[in-house]
Amino acid sequence: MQTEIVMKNVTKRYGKKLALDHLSLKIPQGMFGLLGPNGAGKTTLMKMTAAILPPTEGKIRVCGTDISCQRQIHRMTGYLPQDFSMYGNMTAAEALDYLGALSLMPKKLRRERIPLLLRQVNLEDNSRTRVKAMSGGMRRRLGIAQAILHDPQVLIVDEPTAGLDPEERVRFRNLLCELAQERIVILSTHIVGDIEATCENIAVLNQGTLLFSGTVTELLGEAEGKIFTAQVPRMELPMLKSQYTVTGMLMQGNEAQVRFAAESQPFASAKACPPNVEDAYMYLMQEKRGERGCC
Amino acid sequence: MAENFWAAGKVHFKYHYWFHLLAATLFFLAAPFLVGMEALNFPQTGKVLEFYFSLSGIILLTPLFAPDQNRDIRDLLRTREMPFWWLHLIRLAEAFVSLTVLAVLFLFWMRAGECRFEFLPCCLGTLATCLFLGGLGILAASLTDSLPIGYMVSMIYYVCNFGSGRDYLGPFYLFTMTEGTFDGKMWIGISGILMILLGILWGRRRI
Amino acid sequence: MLLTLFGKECRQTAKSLIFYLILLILVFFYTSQMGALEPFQKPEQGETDSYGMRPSDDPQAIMEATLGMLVTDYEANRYTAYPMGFYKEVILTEEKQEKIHRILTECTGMDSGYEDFVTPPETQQVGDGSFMVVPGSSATVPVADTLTYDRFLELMGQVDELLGGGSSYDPETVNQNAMESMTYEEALEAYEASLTQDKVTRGYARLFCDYMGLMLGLLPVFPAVVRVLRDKRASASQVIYVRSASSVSIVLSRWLASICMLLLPVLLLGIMPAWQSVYYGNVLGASPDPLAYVKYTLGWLLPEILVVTALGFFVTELTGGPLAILIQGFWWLASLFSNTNSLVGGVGWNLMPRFNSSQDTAVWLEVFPQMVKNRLFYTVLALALAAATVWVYHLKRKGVLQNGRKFLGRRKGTF
Repeated sequence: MQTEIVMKNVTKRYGKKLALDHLSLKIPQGMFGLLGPNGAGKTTLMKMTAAILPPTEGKIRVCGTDISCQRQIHRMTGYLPQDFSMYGNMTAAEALDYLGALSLMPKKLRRERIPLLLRQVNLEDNSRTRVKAMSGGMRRRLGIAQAILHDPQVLIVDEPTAGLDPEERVRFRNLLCELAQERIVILSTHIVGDIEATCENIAVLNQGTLLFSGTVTELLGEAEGKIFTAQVPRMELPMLKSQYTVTGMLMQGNEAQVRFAAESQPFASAKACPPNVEDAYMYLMQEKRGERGCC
Repeated sequence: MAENFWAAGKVHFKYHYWFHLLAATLFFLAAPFLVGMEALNFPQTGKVLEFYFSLSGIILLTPLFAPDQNRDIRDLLRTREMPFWWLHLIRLAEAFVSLTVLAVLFLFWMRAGECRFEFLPCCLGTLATCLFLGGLGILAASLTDSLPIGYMVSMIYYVCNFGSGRDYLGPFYLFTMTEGTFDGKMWIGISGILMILLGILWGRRRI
Repeated sequence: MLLTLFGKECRQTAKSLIFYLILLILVFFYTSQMGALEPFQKPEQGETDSYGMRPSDDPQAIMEATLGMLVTDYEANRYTAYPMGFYKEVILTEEKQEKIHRILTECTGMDSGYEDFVTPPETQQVGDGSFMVVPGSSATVPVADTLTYDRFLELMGQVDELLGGGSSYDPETVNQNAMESMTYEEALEAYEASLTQDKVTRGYARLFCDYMGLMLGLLPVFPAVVRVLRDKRASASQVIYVRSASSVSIVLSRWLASICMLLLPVLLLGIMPAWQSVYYGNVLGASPDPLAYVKYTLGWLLPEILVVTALGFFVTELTGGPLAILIQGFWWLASLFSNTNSLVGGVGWNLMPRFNSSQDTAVWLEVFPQMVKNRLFYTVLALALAAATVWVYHLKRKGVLQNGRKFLGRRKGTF
């Protein structure tokens, strides 16, 4: 059986607005990160993969099944939308039972799996808590539980860590990594740190087009030798910002420690340093957009 | 599979529908305070059924999409294996059963009050009127993605049947039993069902 | 602040689908219900046999006709009532029949056998040889000499109560049981009153308000509900709660904008008939009041818009659902049906007063004080509901209230 998602020439238009422009992509098993600024088309792509939004043009096959076979796709995929919400007066267990029933799971199976899942996402003591009384983190965890309830081969998670505290965030990432051992997990985010910590393969989207697709190492390779650090007087900062993409900055009295991207060593005091994912991402955005700016 | 339908229906009832059914039941129980229900002949019975009871169709059918008003929840429900429109059919079945039970009880009540009418045609005629008003509400709510507009369109349609509105409504004039005939009830019923199906189909493609 | 917000709300409304739907409905309703202006007929002496009928003001005639009707109903134990405008046949228990019997005894001075004294209504032969009752004629029965009119009204009040209300024995409408032909002088007087007192325009303005009032007793609730629920749907409530604008400005700007955007189309719709009636008034030689439509719209229709909108805002803010539509729908229905027996001059405390005539100045002058009280009452009620909405909004903003839940159940938190 095929264990990959293949997208060919996928285009999506909302009226005149082009949300995705002839995008082709292969997503293998494991954690896959979709990176891009807000409005890049990540959510559109994920909704199409979950077969709740038809593409205007192009084909998407999930593990060999075309997304026009909606029911099969829904059986194979689990989806956690960006803003997970459920009827506020339902309890956690009731919400899972309801969504399980809608996934056509037999009652017996639901009875078995719901307590297990609640335990897995650390909500076993909250099975009777109403959805509206839950904190952001609890709600997200309930969201992931509902997405894996029917044991899907593909898990699609939109901005999973937005609004979580650092501890919750790490726990959530680990949970996703565990789940990715036996399935495809697509994770969209604009938080580079999430990708760095979890994903092997990534794609970078911007304004509906694919800027990059490959492994994290390949992404880092793109920026190799292009990232520099330098100690500059505060006064010179505005000028530096206007010329280069600054990826990091630390103020030290009248001086500033700056990290920036440049095609070659721009001045003598600038030292080349190994790029991290954030540098590489920023470099890519700047290069592909062909514009210079700062963050 | 049947159990899944049952579970989905139960949740719908427990978290959404009970309220609408309660409203319809209160409306049903308020009938004797507002309309005569004793010793009526057929057109008078028809008037009560069409002027009063038919509004139950709006109360019970129009909120078909009420649980889908939140877009995030709607997205989530659409990712499940059970097609979204099945869920609407389950809700519709619940509404239809409630409506039929209330209509039959209402007619029995009038019969007990010694009203003179043919039971089955009156029952079907009433259901047809209810389906039309409710169907109009469902279609309007589906097209505009707004429950209040659904209620508004069906209630205003009802109002249009008073006075000289009938000249404009042609075969879709609702109050024919009041005039002592069952004219057009079949078409009204069929168009009601068509509007409901159109509403569900539109809801299916709405994103 | 309030004015800025009000302007923004109005602009928002002007961009909403529901606003255009309402415009469409109002225009359709106006064109379908209100045809061309019906011209007044000046009575010409000797031209017609009858100048119309009017309810009698002769107590003796009223008593005789009403009791004639009561005797017939009592004998058959079959009474008719229209408690909410719907036909209702009432059959009384023996105990209640006995009470009616006692009332009849007091009124006629006879313990039994009054049916023998019933004078049947006048009939006349019509074309196909059958007989029909002469319009305005009714069965009568002689009345006891000792019965005063006040006592009679009191007793009829009891009868009406025994029948559950809405019967022909209601003391308010009992004078309609005996009808009289109008004389030429009376008809002329009524006509003159339409010209001089109503200045033609006011009569037509009342008819306009009568029709539009039917719609405005229901329609304003929808935009109100949509407005309140929009915040919830867009998950915008929290973002708005934290702004520095006061709850009063937020709620009032929304409420006033909803009112304004409903009132405006009604005022615009009134321009055409107002212009027509001014023209017609000039033709008749009256001195028409060009602002009559505006005055009547503001005095008659505005309070209705105020209260229906305020109820919509209040209930929706409190419950967070479309419950207000059901409540208003029910109120509207009850108001409509309870007034179907008095289409001209049905005022009382009804949300939608009826005056389905462009003439009948005398009736209007009679009900006018009640109309003023009625409209003032709804204006005050609307203001109270608006204040309550501000209060609910404020509590929700403070987190004390969440869609009425804590309000009704466990109430926690600080004020």
